[in-house]
This record gives sequence, structure tokens and C-alpha cells, in this order.
Amino acid sequence: MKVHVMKRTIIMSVLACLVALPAAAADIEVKQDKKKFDTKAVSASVGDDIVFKNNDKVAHNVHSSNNGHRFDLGLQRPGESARLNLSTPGEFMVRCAIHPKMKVKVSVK
Amino acid sequence: MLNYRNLIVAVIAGVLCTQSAAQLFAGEPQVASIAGLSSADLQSLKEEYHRPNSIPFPEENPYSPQKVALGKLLYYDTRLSGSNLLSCASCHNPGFGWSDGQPLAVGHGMQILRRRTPTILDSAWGELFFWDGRAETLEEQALGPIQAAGEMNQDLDELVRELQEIPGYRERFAEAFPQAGITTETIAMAIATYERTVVSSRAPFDDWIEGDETAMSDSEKRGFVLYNTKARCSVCHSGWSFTDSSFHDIGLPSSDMGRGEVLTDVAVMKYAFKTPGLRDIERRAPYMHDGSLETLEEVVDHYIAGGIQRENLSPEMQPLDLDSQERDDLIAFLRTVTGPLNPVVLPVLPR
Repeated sequence: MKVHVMKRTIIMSVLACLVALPAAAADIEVKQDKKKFDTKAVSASVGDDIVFKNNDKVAHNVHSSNNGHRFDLGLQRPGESARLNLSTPGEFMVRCAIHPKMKVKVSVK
Repeated sequence: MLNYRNLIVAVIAGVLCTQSAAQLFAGEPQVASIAGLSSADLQSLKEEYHRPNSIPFPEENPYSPQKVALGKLLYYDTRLSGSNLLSCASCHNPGFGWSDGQPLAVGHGMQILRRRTPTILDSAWGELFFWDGRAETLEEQALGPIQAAGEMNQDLDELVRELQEIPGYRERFAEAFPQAGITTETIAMAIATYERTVVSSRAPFDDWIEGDETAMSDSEKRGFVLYNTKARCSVCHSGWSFTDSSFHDIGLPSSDMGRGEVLTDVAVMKYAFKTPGLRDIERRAPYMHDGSLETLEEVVDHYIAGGIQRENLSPEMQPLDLDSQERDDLIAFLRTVTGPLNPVVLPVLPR
């Protein structure tokens, strides 16, 4: 009987810990091919990463010029990936600096 | 008894009939392989170059004939400049492929500016405007040169007051913008709407793309294949208007930072400029953002050499291995994307 109570207590404690932990940060993959992103919009949470993968035959350069969200992931040659950590909530437009018709809207909550 | 001559004639006639029937029922014109490209690959490549059937207009500034008519008046009216001597058309002249034929633009007080006048042809399909892409929209672009001190040198508030004093403009703005009337925004919207209607004319290349095999010579067709393969032109100058609106440092000996002045934190944008479309290219010499190359031959030779080797040189710039015949074929093809000059009737300006 005592053992049974202990087991229940341990299980409850583990469950409580799991609930208290923040959701694990996710990797969201965005592919670049034929001078296009494979999506027009990304919804993410603070702490998530977007991994921009260049599956194209040409080089790309992912960046944003929006205030509060400026970044530059630098030149990405074919086959290369670049990671963006989403540390600030908000909405911003990500573009390829080389091919500005390539756009993806990012919403971070 | 079978006559051999009749038999041969019958066989030939049968072959011809079979070919005609095949052509009749094939649906698409038969394309022979060219310069090592299979007929299927060539047909697939040609699909990427069809002219669009309509002009795109943005939701924020939809098409109306009143706006086009008003925009045309404004475009050709020298009273839009501070000196009353320059109009949009002074530099973006239809007779010079909607540019000015000069190596560098000439602005207010005859001062020579630092970049060549870009064409406005096919700008309805553009993305970011000016050589350095500093304007997000054609509307924003239209107001840039009007107010730039070195270009048309016109205060925009003063321009609105001047136009309000001209009865003809009051009427035209009331027709095109019944709610807003004459404002800097409606001036920009009218000019941009007119500019979107400036579309390159149909060229021999378009006839070939749509199936007329006689519209281009063998050399020109080989040039098209080279353009898309060994010469790598289509890596940036792609699609029916021959541009993907991208920005690159193509290794010209210029100290102008181009797009790097706008995107100061993006290293690869140093010395980068917008990829221009190639429609009506024969009427648009001299070439490049600095007007430094006078002929198409010089332009092709620049790409064959690969440009100045420097850190920011676009990775797409690679020296080309083209022999003399291939160089000639490529240049021959480039000449096929110029169509006949569509005459423009100058408007009678309101007084």
C-alpha cells in the first residue's frame, strides 16, 4: 500500500514538472528553390529557430530590414543552410537580398 | 504491272502525307533539337518565355482609363520640374527605349548624375525600383526624381499648388480621383498607372516562342540555347522580360556602392545593382548602370571575361568559355528581343 502511494506521488511529480516546463523550441524548415521560398508565411513561438535551406541552383541571402527585426544570414550557396533564432515577438518580412521577389512573412508569438 | 517510278512517287507522297498528318494532330509545333539541347528540353525552355496576356496592377492602385490619361499628361509635362524645363519623358524618352541614350543621366541645371537613366519598360512587373532598389513601389519611385534636387528639383507641396491653379488638371484629377483630388499621392498614382501601361512591343523572338520557326535564324536559335545554358545569362535575365529583378555585383570598375547604400548591413549588396530587363535592348545603348559599355558586343565580352574579381563579386559571375561562333550566336539572339518602335502620341497639356 505504501509503495503504491509512493509510485503515485512520483508520477504526479513528474507530470507536474512536465506541465511547468516551457514547450520545447522547434526548428522550422523553410526551403529555397527556383528563386522561391516554399511558403509565404511562417507562424512561430519565441525561442524557435527557422532553418533556411538553399535547395536552389543559385546563391541566396536571407535578411530582414524591418525595424526591431533586422538581421542578415549572409550569402548561402547552393546546398547550404542558415539558422535564424526568433528571440523577439512580432511580425516581419523576410526577403532574399539578392532576389527580392522571394518573400516570407514571419509571425512570432 | 507496277511501274517503279510510280511506286517511288507513291512512297514519297505517303511519307509527306504522314508528316503533314503528324503536324496537323500534334497540337504543338514540332521543335528540332538545337545546339545539343533535345527538342523536348527546348520546348520546355521556351515555355518559360511566353509573354503575359495582361498587365498586373496593384490592389492599392487599380487600373482606370482616367488615371492612365492623367498620368500620361503628367509624365510629359515639364511643369512637374522646378525649372519647368524637365519632364519624366526628358530622361525616360520613348524614342530611346524609355531611357535617354546618354551614358549618365543629365538632371537639373544640366548636371551630370552618377548613374545611367534606367528604362521604365515593363516596370509593371518590377520589384523594387531604381538601380539600387530604394523604392518599394512604382508610386514611390515616381515621386523620387520629381523632388530630387539633382533631377527635377521640384518641391512637392508647391507642385500640388501649381497644378491646382490649372483648370484642366483640376478636371482631370476630379475624374481620376473623385475623393482625393490633387495630392502628392494621387500625382504618384496617376504617373505609376501610366508607366505600367508602357509595355515592350512584340519582337521576332515572341513569334518564334509561339511557334513561327521562320521568325528566327538558326544562329539566333543557337544563341537562345547558349543564353540559357553555357552563357548563363538566364541565371538572372530570366523569363519573358529577361530579368528576375535581382541585385548583383557584376564586377564593373565602379566605386558606386549601389544596393549597398540601401542595405548597408548586407555584405553581398556592395556594388550590387538591379538586373535590368533586356526587351528593346538594341534601342537602349549605352549599357550597364554606369553607361560604360557602348555596344552589345562589349557587354557580352564583359561577361565572357567575368568582371573584376573582388570579395563581393556575385557567385553567379563566372568567366565564360564561348568560342567566336558562340559569341556571335549569342549576340544575334540578343537582337531578336527588340520589337518595332510603337509610336507615342504626345498629349495636349492642360492650361
